[in-house]
Amino acid sequence: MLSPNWTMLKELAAHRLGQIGLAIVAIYGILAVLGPVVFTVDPSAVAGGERYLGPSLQYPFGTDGYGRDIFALTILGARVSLYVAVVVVGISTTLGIIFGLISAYFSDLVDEAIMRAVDVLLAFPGILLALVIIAILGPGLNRAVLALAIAYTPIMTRIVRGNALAIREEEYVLAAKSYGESHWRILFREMLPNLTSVVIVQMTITFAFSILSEASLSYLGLSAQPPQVTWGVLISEGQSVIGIAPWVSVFPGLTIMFTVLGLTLLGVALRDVLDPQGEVNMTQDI
Amino acid sequence: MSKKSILEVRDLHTQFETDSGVVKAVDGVSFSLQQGEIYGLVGESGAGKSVTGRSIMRLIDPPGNITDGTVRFNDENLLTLPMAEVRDIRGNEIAMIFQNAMAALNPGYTIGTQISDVLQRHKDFNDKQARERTIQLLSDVGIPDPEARFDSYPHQLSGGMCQRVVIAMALSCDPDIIIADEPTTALDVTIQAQILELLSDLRDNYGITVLLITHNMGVVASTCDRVGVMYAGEVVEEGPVQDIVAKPRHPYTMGLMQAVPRLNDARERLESIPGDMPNLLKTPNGCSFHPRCPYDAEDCRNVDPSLDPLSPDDRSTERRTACLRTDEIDFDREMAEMATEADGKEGSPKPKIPNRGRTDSDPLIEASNLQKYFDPESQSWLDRLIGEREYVHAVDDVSLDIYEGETLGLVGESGCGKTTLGRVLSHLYEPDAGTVVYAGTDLTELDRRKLKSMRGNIQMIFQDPVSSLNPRKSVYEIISRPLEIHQNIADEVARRERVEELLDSVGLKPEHASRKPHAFSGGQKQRIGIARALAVEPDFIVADEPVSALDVSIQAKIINLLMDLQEEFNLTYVFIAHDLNVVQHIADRIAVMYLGEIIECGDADDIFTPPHHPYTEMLLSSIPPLDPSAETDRIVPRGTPPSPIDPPSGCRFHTRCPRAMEECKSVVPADHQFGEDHTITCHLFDDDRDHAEINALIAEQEAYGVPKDQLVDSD
Repeated sequence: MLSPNWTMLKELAAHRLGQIGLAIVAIYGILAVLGPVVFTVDPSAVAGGERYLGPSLQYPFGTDGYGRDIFALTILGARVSLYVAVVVVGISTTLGIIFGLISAYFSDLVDEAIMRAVDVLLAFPGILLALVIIAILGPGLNRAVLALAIAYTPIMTRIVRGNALAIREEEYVLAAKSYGESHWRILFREMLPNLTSVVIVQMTITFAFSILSEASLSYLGLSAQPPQVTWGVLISEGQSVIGIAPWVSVFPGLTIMFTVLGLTLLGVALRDVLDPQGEVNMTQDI
Repeated sequence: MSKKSILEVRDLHTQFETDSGVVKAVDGVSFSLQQGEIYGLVGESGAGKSVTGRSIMRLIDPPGNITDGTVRFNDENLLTLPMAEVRDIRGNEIAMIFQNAMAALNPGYTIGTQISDVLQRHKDFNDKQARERTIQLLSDVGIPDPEARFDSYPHQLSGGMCQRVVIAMALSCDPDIIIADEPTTALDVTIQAQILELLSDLRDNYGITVLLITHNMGVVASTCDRVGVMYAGEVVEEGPVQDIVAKPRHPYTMGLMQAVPRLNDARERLESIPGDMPNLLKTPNGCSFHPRCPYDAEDCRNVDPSLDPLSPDDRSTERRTACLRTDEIDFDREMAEMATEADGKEGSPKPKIPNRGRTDSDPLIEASNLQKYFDPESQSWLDRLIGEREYVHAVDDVSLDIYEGETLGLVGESGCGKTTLGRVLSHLYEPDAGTVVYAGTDLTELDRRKLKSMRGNIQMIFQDPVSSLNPRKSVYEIISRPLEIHQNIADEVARRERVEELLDSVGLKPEHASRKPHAFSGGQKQRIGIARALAVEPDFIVADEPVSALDVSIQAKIINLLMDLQEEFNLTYVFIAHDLNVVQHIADRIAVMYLGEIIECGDADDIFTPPHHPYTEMLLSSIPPLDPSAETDRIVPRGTPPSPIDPPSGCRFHTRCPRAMEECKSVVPADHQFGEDHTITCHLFDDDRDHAEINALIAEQEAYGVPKDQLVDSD
């Protein structure tokens, strides 16, 4: 018999949307890791006289106001942006699952405490919350990451709790209690596996939003500091010249879009593969 | 009954295209409805009866497709009419009632608005006319105080009341036909009896034709005029209800009839039909029933029998059956054998079945003065802290002894606290007051570690086979986990062996261990749940409605399995159910609960022989009789259970009791002993009451069905 993980990967590879998603994510992953090695470019190097060149064979994404190659910068930015997204998603998902499960399972006072805290955090727009946190911690990439992680945790908590409330009422949870299972195992072995699909969907959304939010924070100069390049920095740089040189923001923008698309497709595919029924009609999913 | 046919279904085929192939949900169904009759379409889940009902209304959405056949109504074929005209007929001439009434009503509008909307759309009524007609309709379907109820929202009504509103809505445009799809399945027996009564009344008073879709043979027998039995997308037998019930001419119908537990045949093994309904993706060749049929012959595997009239000498041509061997099988003898078995016990004075559990030893479980209250859902924690605190009185001062090796049946309507009591007994819920002593150990005083090891002795079987198994885990993981916790079988190989052994003892195969729950049918899932409960070799099992989600033939198998396992492992059961037929079948003693209290408790035989508590009597008479000719004056139960948040004073049952007296309203009744161990909590049996009166009452009860004007009065 094949091990469960192996069958899962095989199913994922057979999933049409999964193939597209996997391909996109794989390409970005490879570019982020190997790109800066292949396309050696110094982000602070300035090539005078080649400012705002349109896309061409030499500069596929064109050049920016300092005459820098946007294609090379985008690949350079991939590292930072993907780092931000992965860490933010990682932290907010972990915390969201823990708080959400505990809140749903131990109802009453624990639930009240966690949910009211979540309400307070949700009352501020995510970016504003991140701004407050950065105002306290001071600017910098890692601090921005932390701020965004805190800002996105309440959303995940809410979603996990809402779904966990329904799962808590399932009889298999009661059955686990009746044979003496510990709370910890009920939470993470009985309930959590049934939350995978909602969690994965929310993870892909958080992933996209954290890249965009980091871009906003960079734009305000509160995140990555030059000469570090992120996709957000590139977009905000091109914003003022969108009329004369749209490629400066458009290409990094498209890059973000395809990353998110790839991840979303992968998320959809994962949800199907992880679904124990395994009978989801693949064509209906777009 | 006039013989005018009002709706004719001919050779209906409905299919669903799925990834794994074409599901032939309805495969050549023909029948006709005659003016003013109640036609029952009966069968187990997956037989295609609901899809048939929906196909008539063309309520089939993709991937479903009506591929062939005609539905003739008023000389028109509904299946070829333009959709716009079909929409005119829906609701107007053919109305539909669904199983879940709460879901069928829009929670955002008052019930009055919802009904008058329909009237205004279809009948061009103005506001005032619509309101008047709505109130008339609400009172027609037996809703008390219809004027006030006009402005109620669905959530303010009980399930039974909602079903009445849905029926009122279906009636609003004076339809000729009502298609009722499992209209009582989600309701309590007492409410079911009321709704069935209402449907019969509507037929009698307005001449409405009803197509009643149900899985419950009792409902069919007590309500319908003619019946079509469906199996695997086909009608396999059709005829007048008396004939179907008493003289079935198809092996499947006979199997169904034998699988239904009846009152007064306690603790017999139930007949069951082997196997499961075939997968509709690939129905067997020939007769679709042949793999499960005891009379299976060579021909049956090749020739698909058509639904043909019985030989002319058998009563009438109304009887049709789809069986190749009708003439060869002696159905009457088979049915007669079953009847004599039952008669043998009833005719001669019934030998008292010895209570298996009762010995002189101490009870295995002694529960005393148990109390469990919950916070109502509507109450926030702030209310709880500073507001007027309210409680749901789920279990209120219940004392109970359970003896080793016996089965105690726990019955009552939904919301009576039987599930809560079961969970308190198995210590899934900590009682607010009172003690549960298990084999000399007080569970309420154990610390966490001791309680955890105690859990190995007490197990539960749950109601919903879908919800009780974690869909993410394999059967092996599900069954082996309790073993890991309690038996410390560290050896993977030994554990696998034990799981296979358990699967074998519940009638599953070892190779099933690696599959996930979704790959199993409802009955098989329930077997997995039972295997999990058995894994730790418990002594005491609380089975909470273990068969109520299952089909009749499957239900019989699970009950038989539970009884076999009890014998094999000397188990003690608390068997919770709302179905008295099932309970009396398996239980040695029965406790009847009402609003958190046990109001009658005693040996199973005593419970079913008078004297009864009036509530028990009501429950008993709510059961639709399987024999349609038995015209007992059934007491149609009144009302619905009051809220357990604020239970009535005095005797909690007095608000619905047909025999309520003045003192019942204020004085809490005491327990009265009858015979060895039969307790009734009711004022009717108070000592100061005239014994002659009680005897008369008992005699009355024996006659069954009490004319209301002769009720014992208080003064």
